[in-house]
Formats: sequence, C-alpha cells, structure tokens
Amino acid sequence: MNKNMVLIRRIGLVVVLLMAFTSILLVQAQDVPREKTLIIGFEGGPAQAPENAGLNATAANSQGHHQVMIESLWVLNYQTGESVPWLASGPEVWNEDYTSFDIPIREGVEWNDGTPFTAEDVVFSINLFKENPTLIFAGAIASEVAEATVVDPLTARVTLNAPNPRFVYDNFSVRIWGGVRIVPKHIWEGQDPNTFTNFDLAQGWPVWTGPYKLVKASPTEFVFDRNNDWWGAKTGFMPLPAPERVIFVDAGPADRIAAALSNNEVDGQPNLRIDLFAEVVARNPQVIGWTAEPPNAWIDPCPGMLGFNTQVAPWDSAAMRWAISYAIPKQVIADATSGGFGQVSPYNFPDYPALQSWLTENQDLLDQYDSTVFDPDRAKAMFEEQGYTLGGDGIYEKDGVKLSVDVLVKAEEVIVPPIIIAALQDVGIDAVPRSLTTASYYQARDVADFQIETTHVNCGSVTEPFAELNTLHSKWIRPAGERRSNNVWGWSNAEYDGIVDEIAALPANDPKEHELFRRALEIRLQELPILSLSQQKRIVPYSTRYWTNWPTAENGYVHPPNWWQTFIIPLVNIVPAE
Amino acid sequence: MAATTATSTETVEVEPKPQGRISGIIRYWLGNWKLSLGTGMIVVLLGFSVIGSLQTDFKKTRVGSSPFSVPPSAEYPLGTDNVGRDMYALMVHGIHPSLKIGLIAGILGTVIGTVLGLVAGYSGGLVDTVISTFADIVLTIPSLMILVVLASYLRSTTIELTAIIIAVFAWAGPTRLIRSQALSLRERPFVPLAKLSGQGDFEIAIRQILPNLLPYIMAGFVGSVSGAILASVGIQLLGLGPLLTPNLGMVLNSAFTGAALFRGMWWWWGPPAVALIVLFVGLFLISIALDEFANPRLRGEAK
Repeated sequence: MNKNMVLIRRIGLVVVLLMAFTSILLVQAQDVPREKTLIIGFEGGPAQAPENAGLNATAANSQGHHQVMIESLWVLNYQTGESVPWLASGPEVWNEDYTSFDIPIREGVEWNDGTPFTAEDVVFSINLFKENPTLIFAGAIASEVAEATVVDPLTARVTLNAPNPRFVYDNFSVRIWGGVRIVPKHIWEGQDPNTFTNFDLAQGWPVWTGPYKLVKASPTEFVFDRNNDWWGAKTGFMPLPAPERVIFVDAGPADRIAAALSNNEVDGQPNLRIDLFAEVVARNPQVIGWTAEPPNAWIDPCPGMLGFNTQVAPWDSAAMRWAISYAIPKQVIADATSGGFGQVSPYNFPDYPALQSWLTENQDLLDQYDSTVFDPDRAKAMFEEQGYTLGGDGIYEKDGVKLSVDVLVKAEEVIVPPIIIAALQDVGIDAVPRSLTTASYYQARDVADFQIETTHVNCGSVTEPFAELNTLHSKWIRPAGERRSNNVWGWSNAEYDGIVDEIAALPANDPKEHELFRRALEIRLQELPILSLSQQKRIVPYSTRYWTNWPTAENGYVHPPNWWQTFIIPLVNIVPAE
Repeated sequence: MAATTATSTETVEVEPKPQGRISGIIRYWLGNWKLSLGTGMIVVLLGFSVIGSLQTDFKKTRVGSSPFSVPPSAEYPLGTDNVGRDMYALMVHGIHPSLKIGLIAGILGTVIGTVLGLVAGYSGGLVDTVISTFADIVLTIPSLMILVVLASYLRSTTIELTAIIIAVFAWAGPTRLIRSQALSLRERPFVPLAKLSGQGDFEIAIRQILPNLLPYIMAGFVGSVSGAILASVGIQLLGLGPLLTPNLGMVLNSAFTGAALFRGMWWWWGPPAVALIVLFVGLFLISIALDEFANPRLRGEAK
C-alpha cells in the first residue's frame, strides 16, 4: 500500500512537471499572436542542414533566409520591369565600354548588429566569391570580375575582364530566385567561407541587413522575429513590415499543402496544384491565386523542356531532333501539368509580355519552324528519310542497329515521363525511362551522361533574350564526365556563338539586339538542341484571413513567389486583415 | 466446422508419412473454408484483371486519354484520375502486374529459402551456422531502404526487375522457417530408418524431409508473395517502380501525390485500396489455412 502511494506520488510529480514544461513551451510558442504572425510554407521537404546559414551548397536559402533576412543590392520587379535599388541607392554607373561599373550604396544601411553597411562589405564579398567559385552565385563573379575596389564608403567599383552591360542585371538584381549576396566583412573576415555556417543564435548570428532575425531553426520550421531597429524603417526607405514574426514551415505533400491553406494554418504556400485550387477555395474562400479567373496561376520563368545530348548519335542530327519533336504531344503534357489549362510553348521563353514581344516580331520564323506541332506520321517519315527502316518488332533500325533511347527523368516525376516514353514508343523507338532520384539525376545530367533528358527546366530570360540564348553558348561545354554549369546538351554552332557574343556586348534592348536575336532564333529553331514543351503554370496561393494586400494580377505591384528573394516587396506591403 | 472434422484424419498423418500428401492437400483445400475463400478471392481478382484487360484498350491507361477527374459514370465505370487516365483501365491492367511481382519474387524467395533452409537444417554444423547467420543478418537489414537504393541505380525498371530486386530480401524468412522444421524432422524416427535402409543424405533430404515440409513451404510462399506485393507498393509509392506498366502501387502513388483524399475523389484511391485489401485478405486466409494444415494444434485452438 505504502509502496503504491509512493509510486502514485512519483507519477503525479512527473505529470505535474510535464504539464509545467508543456505550458512553458506553449507560452514560448504563443508569445506572438497568430494575427501578428506570418506563416509561409517551403518546398523541398525538411531542411537537410537547418543550422547552416552560410554560402555553401548545403546552406538553407528558401526557408525564409533570403526572403526576409538577406537583402539584395537591387530587386528586379517583373511587373514593372524596373530594377528597384534596395541596398544600392540608384542604378549602377557604367564606364563607356561596359567593362567597369560603380555601385552606389544607400546611406544609413546597417547590419542587424548595428554595424554600418559600406563599400568595404561589398568589395570584401565580391573578392570572397572571386576566390571561392563554388559558393552560391559565385560562378559569374569568379569568371568575369577582374577587380573590386572601394572608391569611398558609399561607392564600390567593379572591373570586368570583358564588356558585359548585363552583369549587374544578371547577378545583383534577383533576376530569377535570388541574387549575389553581400556579407558583413566584420563577421566573415578570417572564416573559411566553404565551411563557415554563419549560425550561432546566442551570438546574434546570422548577421544580415534584412528586417527579420533568425531565432529558431529546425528541419521543418524556421522562425524569424522582426528587428524593430531595421535600417529601412529608420531611414524612411520602407515601412517596417507589419508581421512581428515570420515562420517558414515545411509545406509537405500536395494534400498537406491544400489542408494547411484550407484551415488558415499558413498564410501562403509556394505552390498549389491547379486542380486542387477550387477545392481549397470551396473550404476557405479567403484563399486567392494570382489571377481571379481560372487557372488562377502565375507563369514560372522556367518553361518545361526536353534536351538532346547533341554530342551522341543519332541525336547529333537536327533532323532526328525535329522528328522527336513531332512525336511528342506537347498539348497533352501541358494540360496534364496544368490541370487542363495547358499552354504549349513555341520557344523556351516564359510567357511574359516584355519577352513575348521578341517572339511576336519573329512570328514568321515560329510559323516556319513550328515545334508545337504533334504529328507522329511526320516523325516516322523523317526517320525513314534518315535511312531507318521499320523492323518486324515495330522498332526502327538502321544498319542492323535499333533506334533506341534512354530518357533521363526524375523518379518523383510520374506524369510527364510516361507521356514522352509512350509517344516515342508509338513512333517506333525502343524508348525506356532512366528514372533517377533528384540528386542522381543532376549528377548524370550535369556531366552530360544522358541521351535525352527531361523533367528539368532551362531557366534564362525574363525581360529580354540574352540570358536564355547564352545558356546554349558552346563556351560552357566541358569534356565528357566534367560538370557543366550550362549547355549540358553539348550543342555547338560557331555562327550562333558569334551572335551571342555580339549581343553580350550590347546593352539590353539595344536596337541591334533585335536583328541579332532574329538570326540566333532562326538557328535555334532549325537546330532544335532543346525542345520547349509547355509553360509552367503554378498557383502561388495566399490566404487573406490574417494578411491582405498580397500581390495579384489585379494588384500587381510585384510578382508573387514567396520562395524568392523578391518576397521582401510583398513583406513590406501586406497589412493585417482586421 | 464440418470441414475441420472431415480433414482431421489427414492431419494426423501429416507428420511422418510422405504418401498421399498431394491428394490430402487437395481434399483439405476443398474442405477448408478459409482456403477456399482465400483462393476464391484471389481468383476473382485475377479473373477481373485478366478478362478485363483483354477487353480494355491499354491506351486508356495513358495520361490525357480521357477527361480529367470525372466521377464514375456509364462511360467511365470507375471514373478518371486528375490527368485523364481511365481508372477501370488502370485497374484491369494494373492488378495482374502487381500479382506478377508477388509471384516472381515469392517463387524466387521460396525456392532459394527452401534449398538453403533444407541444407542448413539437415546438415547442421558449420553450414547451418553460416546460412542462418547470413539469413539473420538479411532479416535485420531495413530492406526497403536497400530496395530504394537498388531501384534508383537501375537504368530502367520493369515488373520483372522489380520482382528480382524484391527477391533479394525475400529468401531469408523462408530459410528460417524451413530450417527450423528441417531441424525437427531430422530427429524423427523415419530418418534413421531411411539411413538404415541405405538412403544417402541427399535422398533423405529430398524424398523424406522435403515432402513433409510441403505445407510449410506453401505457407511460407504465400507469406513471401504478400510481402513482395507490399514491398512493390512501397517502392512504387516512392516513385521508383516501373514507370510504364500500370500497377496498384503506381495508382496509389498518383492518388497520394494528387491529393485524392483531400479532393474527395474516392474513385481514385478506393479501387486500388480495395484490390489490395482483397489481395491481402485472400493471401492471409490461404496462409492461415495452410498453417493449420501444417500444425494441427492451431486447428484445435481455432475451435
């Protein structure tokens, strides 16, 4: 009996202690009310290294870091086409031949530990990237920058190896997803940037300039609290963002993404399947997409594509590549990936007004070389013109060798690969998928270990053609087995390279660029080293339950991605719902 | 109940006598409701799949072959999924490949397991230690993880290849099962008797011990088949199975990634779930019936 009493008391004590701990935890978690907290989902599953806020390949980025904490020198606004000076005070100032530019730095910018942000930090960062080309966004800095110097505390000068009027636009303005980061010299000096994790919450690290500070990092949740002393508000540059706390949470699979939105557990998600949107809105009418009308989607800058290894027979033949194009039902792929709202893409450009005007002025070429056509009979006829004959097993062959192809695909992709493989089999190709997990997929793709690859995207241009054209320049080609940062397809055309080089030396939208683009486009369409499949429509959903004034097509003050560094603009614009 | 009493005479004979085993099994089969029901469920499922697939165009299993997300109707008896695949076509063309994976992996696992178990159990000593240690190691390895790695290294995955990958781990269970039975059978009086009558070890193992192991082998085989189907569904759920041949795991995977539950599209996740339930319940019934056949004591407890 006595023993039992002791046991009961002990159990009671444990229960009381557990309750006390739980209540402490609850108090900690609830000290910022929900209506003052912004919660956004992040993609890609739990973070592999939450306690790495550095610059190497394993560091966390889209888990809130570069959205709310790391600011860019300029922020490109897709809606206005303008590069908004952020840490910079105005546009860069070029010399005459576009080999050197000055970065004017905004007065009053401070790191979140109170240290002033100066040209010293800019120059230190550029040199850091120059010496460590594998750090994030360091590639172009390492290959193109000759020198960076401090002119005065608010001016940094960068000299390039060769003229490149787009250097700032491409690297410092968040053209797509993120831009080159400026790190605090007083923290990073003396550290090895390849291993430095920049993470010590007790010490106030990571130190960046943004309006929020990281206070908690776990694989599935990153918590950022507002820095009420943010330079942007102090200087009157921007208002202090309204949310007192921002939490980024692992978005999870499609049904979890939809359920969290339906229950207002999150205020925004990076993606929502188009065919789920209506169901979510039926449960929670406060959820909005980019457009008010179906498909409510925003167009991602990276269209879906298929690439050929042009260094491997028979895909080194333009005629064979065109035959494949005719064999593939692009509309089916577009519809299947966009909930029935598919939009085929005649060229590897996203459907943004500024960029599309370059295509519409060359509509005659797009009509002449129309790669959106699906015509399996024509594909077969082209194989026969190339000397292939149909074998008894329904597979084409030439000189006793069957026409076969392994199509490199990501294992997680279950919709597009079967369509492509079936379409190739239908026209008499012995096609099989080579299905690899994402990491292995990129290992194979980046060293050109494939015949045909798909389910990746080739991102490039958003406002003018150069960036996309440049991804197929032959200068990126490396020997087999070596990693390539671009042109994994190994396509090389001397005339095309010359045109791209000429465009590279011109400022964007120079009248001569139009004429050069037309020539480059014609070569690309004739040769078809990569085949554009469909526009990537994605819903970037937001809930107006706690926060309003989200960017939409109607209220289009900026483009909507919440996994990009441009998210700082919605952040300072959203207001509490009440 | 009648079935159990009717077969009780056979079971008494199960232990040592090799004669009359096959006809006994057949009679037991027909007389035991669990066995008949289990077999019936599998046969019906297989029949649905095979007959249905002969009448249904395979192209209807393709993306975009039908309208998107249509509930069941006269034209689409089981509706369509979110990318326009006819669910009925997916089911009739998808069930038998899943069974095929189970059968191939089950047969491979059972044959390898029986041979190794018999050798280990009958010969004992070092051979036994080596085989059983190896089997024990394989049993403790988290096989799904290894299967995922293996599957991701292959250039292209087919139904047969998936089955072979699964069989890599499917033999250890049967090996343990058969070994323990062979160990006990080795000590039975008929073994020394056979030795005295001049039979060699190999002959004794094949002619005396193996026939008595038949019910255990069958039970082990059924267990391997259902284990293999489950493993294949697991691999497919992770997106690493055969991409082009429809199968139950693939349909469940697409229902999962397409948020079928959230959308209330019961016709999308329901049919593969029902098919798997029928499959597993059927195999389970067969398995326990065979177990009872092998162990009369179980039957006694069942009463």
